[in-house]
Amino acid sequence: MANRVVAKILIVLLLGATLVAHPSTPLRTAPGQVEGQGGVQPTNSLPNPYRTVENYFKMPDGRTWGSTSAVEIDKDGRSIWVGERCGANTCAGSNLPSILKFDASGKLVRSFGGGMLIFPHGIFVDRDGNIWVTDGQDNAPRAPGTVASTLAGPPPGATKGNQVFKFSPEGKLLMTLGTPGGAAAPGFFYQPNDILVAPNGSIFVSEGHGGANSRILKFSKDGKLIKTWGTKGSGDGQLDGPHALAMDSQGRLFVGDRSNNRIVIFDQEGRQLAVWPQFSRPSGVYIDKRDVIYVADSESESVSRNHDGWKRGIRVGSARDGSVTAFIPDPVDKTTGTSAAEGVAADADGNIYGAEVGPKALKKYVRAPGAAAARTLPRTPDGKPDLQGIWQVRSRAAYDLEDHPARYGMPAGRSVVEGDVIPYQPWAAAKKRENFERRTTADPLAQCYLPGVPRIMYMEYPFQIFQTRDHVAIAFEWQQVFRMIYTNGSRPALPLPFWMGDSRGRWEGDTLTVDVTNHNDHTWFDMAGNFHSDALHVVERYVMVDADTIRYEADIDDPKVFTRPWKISMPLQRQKDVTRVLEYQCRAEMEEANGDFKPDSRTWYQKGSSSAVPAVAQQVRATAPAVASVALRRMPDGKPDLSGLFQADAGGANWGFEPHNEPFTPGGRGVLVDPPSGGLPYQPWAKEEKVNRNLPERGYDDPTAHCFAGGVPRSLYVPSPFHIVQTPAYVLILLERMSWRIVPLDGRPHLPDTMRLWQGDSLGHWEGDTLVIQTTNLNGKTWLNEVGDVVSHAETVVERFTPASADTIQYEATVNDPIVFTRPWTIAMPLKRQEGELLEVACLEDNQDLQHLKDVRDGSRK
Amino acid sequence: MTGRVWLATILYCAMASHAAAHHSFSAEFDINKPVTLTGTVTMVRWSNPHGWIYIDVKDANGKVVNWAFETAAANQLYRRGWRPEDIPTGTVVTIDGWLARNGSPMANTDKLVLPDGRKLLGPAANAGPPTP
Repeated sequence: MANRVVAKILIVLLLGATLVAHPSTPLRTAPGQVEGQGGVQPTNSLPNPYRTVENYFKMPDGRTWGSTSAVEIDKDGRSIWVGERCGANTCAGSNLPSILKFDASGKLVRSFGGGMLIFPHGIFVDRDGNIWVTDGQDNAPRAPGTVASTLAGPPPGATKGNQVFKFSPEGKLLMTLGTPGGAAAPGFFYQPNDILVAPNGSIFVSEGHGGANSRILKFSKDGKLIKTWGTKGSGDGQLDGPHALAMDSQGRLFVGDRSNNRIVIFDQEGRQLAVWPQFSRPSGVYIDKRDVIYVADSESESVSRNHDGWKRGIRVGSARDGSVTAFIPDPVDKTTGTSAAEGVAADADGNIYGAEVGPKALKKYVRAPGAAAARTLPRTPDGKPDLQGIWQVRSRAAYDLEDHPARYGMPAGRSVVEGDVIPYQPWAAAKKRENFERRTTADPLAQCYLPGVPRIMYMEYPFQIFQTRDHVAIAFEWQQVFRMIYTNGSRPALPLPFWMGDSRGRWEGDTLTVDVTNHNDHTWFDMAGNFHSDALHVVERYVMVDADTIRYEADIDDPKVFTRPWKISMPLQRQKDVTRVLEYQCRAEMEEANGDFKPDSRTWYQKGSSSAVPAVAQQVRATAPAVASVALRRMPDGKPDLSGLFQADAGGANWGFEPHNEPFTPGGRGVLVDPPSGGLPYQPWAKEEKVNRNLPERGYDDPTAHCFAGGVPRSLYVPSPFHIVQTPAYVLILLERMSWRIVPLDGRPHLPDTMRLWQGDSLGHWEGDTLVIQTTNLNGKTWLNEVGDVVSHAETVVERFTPASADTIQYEATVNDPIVFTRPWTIAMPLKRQEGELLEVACLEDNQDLQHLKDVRDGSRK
Repeated sequence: MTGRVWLATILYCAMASHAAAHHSFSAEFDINKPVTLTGTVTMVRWSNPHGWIYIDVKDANGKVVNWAFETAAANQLYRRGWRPEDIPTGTVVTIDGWLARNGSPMANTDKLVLPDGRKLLGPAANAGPPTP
C-alpha cells in the first residue's frame, strides 16, 4: 500500500511539473485566475480577523459531540444544520438522531434521522428549506485491513448507507436517491460525499471518498439521473475524492477535489471552467450569497503529505476573482490525523461555522474587536471605528446595480445585488424596462436632481466623511450634496419626504447602521432605471474592513415595488491621493454648456487671468472682541465649540449691505462696518454694473435664481440656516440650500490658482477663541446679493467667527477684490443658534421662477 | 388661546416674517399691479424654493382661469407648523397679491384669507430671520 501511495504522489508531482512547463494548458481557462498549481505559493500568511468561539452549540444532557463534517445554514440565514455521527465517528449501531438544527444562539431546536444514516457526511439546504444529507458509508461487514481504495462499489452484505436523503424542514423524509447499501457505477452511490441543489432544482452529488470511483452525478429535480462526469485521477477532467460541492451566484459548480489539492469549477453540464489551487486542500467548500468563498483544509501536512508547506485551516476569499483574503489557522500544529474543520458554512451575518471530524466539534468564528483586522482600525476617541476621510466606491453600481453589459455611456459591470436579481413585482418590472429605454432623459440626474440614498453612495465621485459623537456628516463632490446622519438617538423630526431621505444612525459594535426613511418617489437607484416608491426603507451598514476599506451594505425594502426585501453590498475605498473634495455643480455646468448661464468676462475667472489676483494678505480689522469672561461651549481640546444649527441675523444683507427699506424686500439695518459711510467702495465700472443688475430684466442673471451655490460670504446670510460640524481637524458648514463648505484646520496651502470653485478654497485657523477662515480660488460667477452687488474672481475673503455667548457667534467678513473695489470692506452680523434640524432645500424641484424671470428678460428685448 | 387663534398666529408668522427668497421679487412681480381674487383651491405645491397655491377663478364672462400664487418656501412653512392638510383642495380663498411681470395668470401672495378667517400674510419675498 505504501508503494502505491508513493507512486500516486509521484504521478501528481509529475503532472504538476508538466503544468508548470506548459502554462497554456487547457486545465486553466478562466482569465485572470491563478496559473499552475505547481507554481502557487502557499496562502498561509493572511490576516485572521476572526475570533474562535468554542462550545457554542449545546448538545442535550447526556449527549456529547461526535465527528461532524456536515454543516449548513438554514433558509432563515441564521439557524445551523449539522449532520453529527452519534457521539462517535459513525452512527452504526446507534439510534440517536443525527440531523440536528440549532438556532442562532446555539440552542438545539430540532433533531431527526435516528437509525437512518450510518455516516452523515454532506448536507445542503435548498431554496425551499428542505434538508438534503449524504450517507457516506455502508454497513457491510469488513475484515480488518480491508483497503477501501481498491473498491469501486460497496462490498457484499451492505443493506444500509451510501444514499442521499431529502427531508422537509420538519424532518419528514421526502425523497431518497440511490440503492440501500449502495451500488457501483453505472449504479449509485458508493461513498456519496456531498449534495447540492441548484436554484433550478437540478441535483448534484459528488461520489468517491477514497474508493476507485470519483465522479459527479447530476439528477433532475425529481431524482432522475441525467448525466455523470469525472473518473478517478489527477489529470484534466479527473477527480480524486470530490469531497465538497458549492455553487456561486453565476451558477458555477465548485468541486472540492480534495486529494488533488484543488478546487475544480464546472458549469452545470460538466464543462470544466477553471482550476483553483490557492484555497489549499479542500475538505469543505461554502459560497455565500455575496460570493464570499470559505474553504476548509483538514489534511495538509497531516493525513496528506503531498501538500507540505500549506497550513490547515479555513481560507476566506472571493468566488468571483479567486482572491484569498483571510485565513483561520488550525490551532493544532503537528498531527497525523484529520484536524480543524472538514465542513464549513457561513451565516447571513458572515459568522463562520467549522465542522470537525478529528476534534469532534462544531466551532463558530466571529469577526470581532480584538481580532487582527479590528485592532488595526483607526478609531475615534470614544472607540468607534473612525470613518473620516475621503472615499469613493469601487464598483460600477452607479450604472446598473445588476449584472450588465456595456452600453453607450454605460460601462459593463458586475452585480452588487445579493442573488443578482432585483425582485420586482410584475408591473414594476415593466416600469423598470420603460425607465431603461427612456433613461437618457428620464433619469432624475439628467436634470441634476438630488440622487437620493443609496444612489449617492456609489456614484463615481469622491465624498468626505466627518464624524462626531452625535453626527456622521458626508459631503459629496456631486452637486455639493450632503447627508447628515444623526447618531444622537433622535428620530425623524417631520413626516415629510425628502430627496435624500432622513438618516438616523446607531453603532452596533463596530458597524454603523443607518435607517434611511422619508424618501420621495422621484429618485432612482442607478442609471439603468431601477426605481422605488415613497414606501422605500433603506438600512445601510458601514463596516470598516481595514483602515482603507469600508464595506457598504444596504438592505432595501419597498413593498409597493418589490416582492421581497433585497440587498446590495460593495466596497468603498479611501482615496489616499485625494486631499480635497472638489465641486461638480451639475446644474451650473449644464446651463453653462447649453448657454442658459452666460460667462461675464469682467468677473469670471478665465485661465490666464490669474495675474490679476493679489496675494491673500489683507487688511483685516483687528476687532476680535474679548470673550474670556463669557461662558462658551468648548471642545475637549479647549477650542470654542461652534457646532450646531445657526442662522444669520442678517440685517437684510441678501438685499443690500447699506440700510434699505424698499417694497418687496425686507428692510435692512445695514451690515457694512467698514468703510463706516459711503457704501461699498466700488470701482466706477462695477458701480454701474450693480445698478444695471438691479433692473427687472437682470433678475434672471442672479446665480441663486438658478439654484446655484451662493458663494462666499453670501451662503451664510441668505435666509436659510446652516449646520456647523466641528472636529479637531475640520470645520464643515452644511448649508440648507444643499451646498457645503469644508474648512481644513491643518495649515495646508491653498489650491493652485487655476482651480476655481463656487464656494472657493477655505482654510481655517484659530486666533484665540476666534475661528479665522481665509477663502481664495473663487470663480467670480456669484452675486453678493439679490440687488446685484458685484464680486469677481479676484475676490478673497477673511471671515472671523467669534463666539459671543453659548448661542451667538459674532460674524465678520472682510472682502478684498481689486477688480471691483478700491479697497477691502467688511460686513458684520450675529449668527444665532436655532432650534430643530436642517431640512432640505431641493431648489431645482420646483423652480418655476427661473422661467418667469426669463420671460421678463426676453420681453424687455423685444 | 383657542386652537384656531393659535394656528392663525402660526400662519401669520409663517408668511409675514419667514419666507426664503432665492431670486429678486421685483424682477418677477410688479409692485404697481396689486390684484385681489377669490377662487377655489385646485392644488397646493409644498415645494422648494417656493410653494405655490393654485385657484380656479371665474371671470366676468364665466370663464374659469387657474391662477398661481407664489408663497414662501415649503421648508419655512413646515418650520412654522404648516401642514398640507391646512389648505385642502376645494377651499374657497381670497388672495391679495401682486401680478407677475410676464403677464401670465400668476401673482405673489400678500394676504390669503381662509373661509374660517385664518390668514396668510406677507409677500414671499418678505424674508428675514425667524421671529423669537
